[in-house]
Amino acid sequence: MRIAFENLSFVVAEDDPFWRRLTVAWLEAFGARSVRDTADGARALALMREAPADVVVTDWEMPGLDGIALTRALRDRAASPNPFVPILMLTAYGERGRVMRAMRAGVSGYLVKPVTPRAFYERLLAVLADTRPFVATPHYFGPDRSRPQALVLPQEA
Amino acid sequence: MRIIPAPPKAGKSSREPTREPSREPAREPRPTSPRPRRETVPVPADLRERALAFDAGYEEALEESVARAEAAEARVRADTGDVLAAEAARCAGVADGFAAGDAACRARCLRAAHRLRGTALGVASPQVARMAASLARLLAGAESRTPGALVAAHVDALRAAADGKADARAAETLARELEAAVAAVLARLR
Repeated sequence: MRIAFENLSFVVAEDDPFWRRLTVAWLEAFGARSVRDTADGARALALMREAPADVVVTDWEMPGLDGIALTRALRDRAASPNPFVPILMLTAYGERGRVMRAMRAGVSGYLVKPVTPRAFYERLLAVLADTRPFVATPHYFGPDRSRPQALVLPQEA
Repeated sequence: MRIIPAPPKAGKSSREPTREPSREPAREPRPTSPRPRRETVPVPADLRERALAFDAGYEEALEESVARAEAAEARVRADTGDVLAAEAARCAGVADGFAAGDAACRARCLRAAHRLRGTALGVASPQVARMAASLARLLAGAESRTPGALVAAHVDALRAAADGKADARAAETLARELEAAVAAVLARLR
């Protein structure tokens, strides 16, 4: 099994120019069909409204709309261009409380910097292969983490 | 693509001893508050079907992709030059004229320190990452009572460490001293 990057488009929201370039370079090297990048969350949301990407990779701390606010906006079922879009948060914050906050906002995956291309690929694969449904409550819309993950296998001939 | 569901969680075994019926008088059922509305929403499968391909082995695909990404990373690192010194100078610029009572100024400094921490982690400079994290902790913890002198001390140390003026041992000592000073300030404020 592999990620079919040739079928996928990405939006990368990261205010650190070094990490933004690195993330874009990794995705392009993996073979992504399209990668659009921006330094702030508000622009990322605008890019998603112009043409929804298949996956969003976002930093936490950004000027204007931060990664948490971006995640909440994308998970807003009434206003989001795609409330199911996989969101991978890539941040230097590794504290447990921060991770829990990101999960409660509805991120699909969380990676703490520094990150290797291998870890990035493996986390993306885990996010894309996630078969769990979403759950909607008055305060949350996102992956249902109370369920165990299923195993994805190729279709039998 | 076929999806094998995860096994159900283990329930009670039929061998478990059954409890004898209680002889106490039956209690009134407690009034229950209404459960919060919770709806399970299936995720459309089209993305998963496009995103996963089964024409290659997992390890083989991973190794090829990682090798290409590592080569791209080497090119980015060669192109970006001394990104750490540039980010440290940026952080120092933001912290110049720091005013603890100005919430917007504190937020700008906090973002700059956090961003420098991320860059330092990316270019494998643990001492700069520690100093930047220490500055971020100070700003987030002390808020309007942040001592300007300690912010300035962080900025000087960050400049020296990022420019390579302080060797690794000196930078580590500086980082440790700054962390201790921040811990003392935060303890005093608590």
